[in-house]
Amino acid sequence: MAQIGQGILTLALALAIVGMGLNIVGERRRIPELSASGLRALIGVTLLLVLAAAVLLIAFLTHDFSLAYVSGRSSTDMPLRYVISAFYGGQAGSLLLWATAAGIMSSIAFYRNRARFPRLVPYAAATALGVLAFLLYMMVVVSTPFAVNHITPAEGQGLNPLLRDPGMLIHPPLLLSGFASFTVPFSIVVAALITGRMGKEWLKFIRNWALISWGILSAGIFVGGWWAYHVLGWGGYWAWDPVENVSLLPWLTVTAFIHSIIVQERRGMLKVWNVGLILASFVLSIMGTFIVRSGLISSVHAFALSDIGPYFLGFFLFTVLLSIGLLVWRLPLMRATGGIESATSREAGFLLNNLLFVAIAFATMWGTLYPLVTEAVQGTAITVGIPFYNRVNGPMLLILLILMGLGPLLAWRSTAREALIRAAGIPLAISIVAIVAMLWLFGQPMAAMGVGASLFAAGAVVVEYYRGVKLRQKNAGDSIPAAIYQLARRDPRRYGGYIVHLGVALIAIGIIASWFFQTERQVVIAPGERVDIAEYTIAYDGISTAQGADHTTVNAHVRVFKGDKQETTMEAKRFFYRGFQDQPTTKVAVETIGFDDVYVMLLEWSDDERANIRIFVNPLVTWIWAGGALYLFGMIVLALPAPVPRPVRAAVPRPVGGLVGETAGD
Amino acid sequence: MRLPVTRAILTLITAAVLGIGVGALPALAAEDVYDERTVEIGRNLACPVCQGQTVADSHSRVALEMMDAIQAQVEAGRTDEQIYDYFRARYGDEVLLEPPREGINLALWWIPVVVVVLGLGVVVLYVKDSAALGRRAPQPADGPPTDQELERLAERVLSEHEQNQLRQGDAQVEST
Repeated sequence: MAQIGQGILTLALALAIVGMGLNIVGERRRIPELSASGLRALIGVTLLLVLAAAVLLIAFLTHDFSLAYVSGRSSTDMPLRYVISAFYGGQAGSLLLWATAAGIMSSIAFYRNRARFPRLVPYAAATALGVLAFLLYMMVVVSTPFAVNHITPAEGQGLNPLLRDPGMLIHPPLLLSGFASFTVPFSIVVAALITGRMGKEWLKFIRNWALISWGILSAGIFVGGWWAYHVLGWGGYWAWDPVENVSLLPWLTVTAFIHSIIVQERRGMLKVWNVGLILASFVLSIMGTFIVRSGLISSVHAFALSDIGPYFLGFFLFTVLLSIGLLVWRLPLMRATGGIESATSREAGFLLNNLLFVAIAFATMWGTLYPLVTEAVQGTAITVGIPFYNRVNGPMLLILLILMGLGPLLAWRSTAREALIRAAGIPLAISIVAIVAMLWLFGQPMAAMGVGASLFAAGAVVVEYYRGVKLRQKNAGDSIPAAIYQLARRDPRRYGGYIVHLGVALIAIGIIASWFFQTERQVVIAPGERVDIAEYTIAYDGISTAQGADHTTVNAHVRVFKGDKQETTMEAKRFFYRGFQDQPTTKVAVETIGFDDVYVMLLEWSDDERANIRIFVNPLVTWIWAGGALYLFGMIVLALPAPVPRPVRAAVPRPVGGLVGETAGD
Repeated sequence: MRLPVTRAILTLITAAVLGIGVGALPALAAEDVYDERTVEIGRNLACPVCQGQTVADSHSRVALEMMDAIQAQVEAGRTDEQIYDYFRARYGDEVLLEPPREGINLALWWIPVVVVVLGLGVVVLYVKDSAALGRRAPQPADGPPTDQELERLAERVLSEHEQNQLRQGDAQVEST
């Protein structure tokens, strides 16, 4: 197994280097046959990566403990699903997954578009091959998944208990593929900078692949939050931990991009900025992949430390310098062909949106890296925790929420005041009523403003939909559901985007509610006793234990009452895995009752079954998951191909034909 | 930590027996382990062995012991300031979740503000500049027309186009 796997990776590395050469020489010397084989080299490298991944997977499934990577993180008594997820439970496997995902996506992107962009694709493929070559070098020389044990152990060590959770089956692969997917937009931009070709068609190409990266990364971040909430057991879903932060950074820049690219499409502005955002997203995703594993910053997520630090730093610096160099070299090519005419225009709104996204990204990165700064300057380490991020990012996120409502109501170029007031009137009224009501009921001005802003944004989406539905009812006689469907079907970019906005508004309300109005109690409780928390009563019934194949489970039994009525029974669990007895993991008991999540965690217990339990009542956390689902749904709508109205095209006068084609773009 | 098997079975039986008595609300209320102030302070301290979590949120032994230490000091009537200083002396500045706002750490707080202000300045300059450009320069070939007439024409065409699309959609619906 080891030789086969190692052989495949070495072959892939050689092919990647040769492929880079073929692509570059083929394009420079104008030998199409050569660049064509360069593209085939990319596909070949991808197939080899898939093959290597298959070999590693087979090694896991057959419990081949002669491989150090397999024996180090799996065992024969682990359930099949965790044996599979052990694949990416360490450095080398994660690298292999990353490279395979990057290979598959770039192969698809460049093979499908080889005829449309014959000049561009060779350089793009060469760039992707360069990235893959770096990763393959790491896997062949520095951190190989196919290293052999000197003595084959009879049994493996098993997987880190924190990773034994259904959430871990999807979160890491999604996040890793999300990071990896930035290889495609990055390669497209690098190729465009080298060749100087950035036309209208190219814009679509880059936009589509940026959307795919944004989508995968968003899904990965959501699943991560869900996992943290159900497993880590501190009643929250996001803690501004370094690893969470670095996964957010490329999300912030690519989200800025998918907004600002619309300005470039419509008004020919922000060309340099957009290219910069894509380059930054890739650089940040490289940072996201490596920074924690390199041991530079410690975090709860640091499952695997290794000596890849210097290599990663080298690659990182090379990418940054290459990006800046290309950007500066091609500055003259990217002159704006339009300008901003009014501060109350859609494009000005997008500008502010981008400033905020990038500022949040900067503040988050600054906070994450700041401990390194003090360490270097003063020699003392410090911690930058939740308060910093809340105080710095909180206000910016609030403005962003307001802007999310205002933006879609602004017209391009310049908005007439009356039109804006007419459009914003109802959402504004709703949000003011909500703010006043919340202040009256709860106090908490920040929470009131946040909810007001979210409702304003949601209201704006509803107003936009209402207008669209009205128009369709008048012009096409659609019923309301048919009109809603047709709107999204005909203009997926616009209405898909609105659905995402609605999802974000829901998520924001859920976050605000569960952050400001969480109640918490920690009690030592004997069987037969009760705890009152918010409007609930928890009755504790004692401890039981159960023996699994590779672990012992301790269950604390509780019943939840609302008033006198018993709502549910729950078990808060702790797991003790063989080989990891000192790291018991948690399965929180969570039950959604009405708007609240009742969340019970078992901390400690004694032989007389007295237990130390921690209870949270988290309002509206379900809205975060519902909002997340809506967000993902909107994302799928966005990705739908817009219908091409062929017969209409002939009816449109030539000079403004381009404009018509672009109306889908807001 | 692992309980003997016999004990496990016994506890299972107990739980099953207790499970039968569902519905009754117990009368005895459990006591809180910590004062509210203890939890508040614990929330502002970083757990030294499990980075990324606060002392209040972590379930590690060290964190639980720290919580007990905070509780003891709260009960002894010490101020928040004194308690933070106690932990700072033992674990260094690292233990504070929010770095002290003094000396070099002012950079942590102020640099993001400076960046936002600079960014805003750049945006304002860009808007001014580009507004001038938008007014002065005649539109280049691939730029959109600024002409009012053209704009109106575009709008008319757009609404026609939209209506055409709607009608066409009906035709499609009917034909399927």
